[in-house]
Amino acid sequence: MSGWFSHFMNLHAVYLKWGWIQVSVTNLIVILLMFTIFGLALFLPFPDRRKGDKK
Amino acid sequence: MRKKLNSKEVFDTKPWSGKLREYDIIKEGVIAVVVVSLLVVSLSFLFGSPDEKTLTFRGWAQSNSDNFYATTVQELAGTSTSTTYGRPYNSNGDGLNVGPLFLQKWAGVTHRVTPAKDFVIKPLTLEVQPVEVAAALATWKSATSAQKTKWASNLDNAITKKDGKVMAVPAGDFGPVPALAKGLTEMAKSGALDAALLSQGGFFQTDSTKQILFFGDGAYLDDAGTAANLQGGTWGMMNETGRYPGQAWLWLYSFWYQIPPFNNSDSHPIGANADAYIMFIMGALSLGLVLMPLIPGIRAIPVRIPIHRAIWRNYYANEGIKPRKD
Amino acid sequence: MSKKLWTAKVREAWQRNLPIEKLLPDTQPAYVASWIYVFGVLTLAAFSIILISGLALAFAGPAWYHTSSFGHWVNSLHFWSVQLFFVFMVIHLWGKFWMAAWRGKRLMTWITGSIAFVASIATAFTGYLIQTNFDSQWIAFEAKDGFNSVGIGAFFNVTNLGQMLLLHVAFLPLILGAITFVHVIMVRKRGVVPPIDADENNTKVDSK
Repeated sequence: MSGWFSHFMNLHAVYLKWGWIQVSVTNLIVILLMFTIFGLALFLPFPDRRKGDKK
Repeated sequence: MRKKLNSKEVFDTKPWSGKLREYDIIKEGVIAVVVVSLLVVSLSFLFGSPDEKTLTFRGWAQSNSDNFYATTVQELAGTSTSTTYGRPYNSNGDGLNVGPLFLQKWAGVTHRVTPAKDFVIKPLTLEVQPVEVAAALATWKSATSAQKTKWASNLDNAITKKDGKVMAVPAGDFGPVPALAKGLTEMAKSGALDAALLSQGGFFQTDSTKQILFFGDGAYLDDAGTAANLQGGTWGMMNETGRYPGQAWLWLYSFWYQIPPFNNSDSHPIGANADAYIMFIMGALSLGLVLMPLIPGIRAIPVRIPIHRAIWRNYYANEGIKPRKD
Repeated sequence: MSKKLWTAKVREAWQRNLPIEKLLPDTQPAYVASWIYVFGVLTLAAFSIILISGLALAFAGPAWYHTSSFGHWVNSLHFWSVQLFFVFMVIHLWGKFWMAAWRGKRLMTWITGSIAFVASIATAFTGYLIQTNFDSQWIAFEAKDGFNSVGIGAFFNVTNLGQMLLLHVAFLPLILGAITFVHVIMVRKRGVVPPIDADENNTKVDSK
């Protein structure tokens, strides 16, 4: 079982370049995803259950 | 001011005496394991994982036999990277240094590698060779080391003069070296060198140091690394083969290799020793991360930049605590 | 009498410092109400999947996943759980930084956590070296220079597959597990850090 998209994943990677900064699209997605998750974790409302409160 | 800070510190230390909320630590743990398991299983089914086949000496000799031949000659001449590397493989160089610190040299030779013998002569001896190669081996073994170096250096220089084109090299005072290099190239092409280097005449083998060093002396591995965008000078440390996510967590380690003075050429005192400098920098920064709460200025950042107002917004709202002004 | 027994001393110290109510709590301070708090336990969850998939890979031997499609899938589980492990851990670290979570005698919690982060990088690195594929050939060749340059390569030889395999499987997970254990115990012992600017005057008021 090598993954449904493993053919696509094994193609040559796409790299983005800004001067001396270079990053693969996949790594960029991972990094942006981390910032997004961090932002969501800060701002999404958290279900509030007080002790003693009935559900 | 100081006094107030201290009482705040004391408060932070005490067990919480305020409002509580329900918390099921076991349930939280179970849900976390279930959620992460589902994520991992989905990702594995969707994308699989990278597993690009190893390079072999067979592949190297078949696809670029001139380069393999020239590298073999360099091993015999003592001009290859691994011959002149220094510690921990041999004493033929001082290795890298940071100012007066020659840590590489001081650590000593702990994995002795003698490229001419280990990469060329020994593998050739492990197989039955054609008559001319066997004769060349005998001549090589009975020659003085000065004579050996002279023959191999002559051929090494002649190949360099012809831009690495072995066939274009005219006859010269090369002794048995052409026959040895030809013999090893043929052995590599057949795949026998992979086995010979692996076993080194023994049965069990778990150390791949010699193969890796020999590989690194030629162009084959380097070209493959460039093609896969894995070179350190272009953030390769963060990258994975194919389109898989790499080691994003190494971004800072990788970063230093992209900027001066560390990306300077090997003729620059810091460029040449970049590996050592960056190792020290990352060591210091790691220590800085571990001891961050003790560093004035940095430890105040999360208090000054009020991201915590978002995290504890309900608490601040309920208790009517206004953002600080200072 | 029993005060003299080592066992009794250890038990009493344990009960004093980490009673079962602290170890397995059913309440949290009311301010512990943000999604940012779940990233510690998510990191632990990813770590547990890394250990299980890694154990499966260890049982079948290092060459298995090149030849068996089931083995390759287990390798994929290992790969993706490591990716998620780092994502969760880094977000956890960011969160704890912005909470200044080392306040109030929680320095050791921060120190053990950040050491666990560095140890994870070392553990993952040895994992990349023992994939026995092109990637590990390349990484071994490149990384040796860094370690050799400061003398570490003399006893930590990244081109030695056997050494890296044993360290990755037998030694580093143990070290990482131990640091993580101490980290979690510290969290439970000290409790979750109070909000910045909280003090005695606003802990008991129920504004709802």
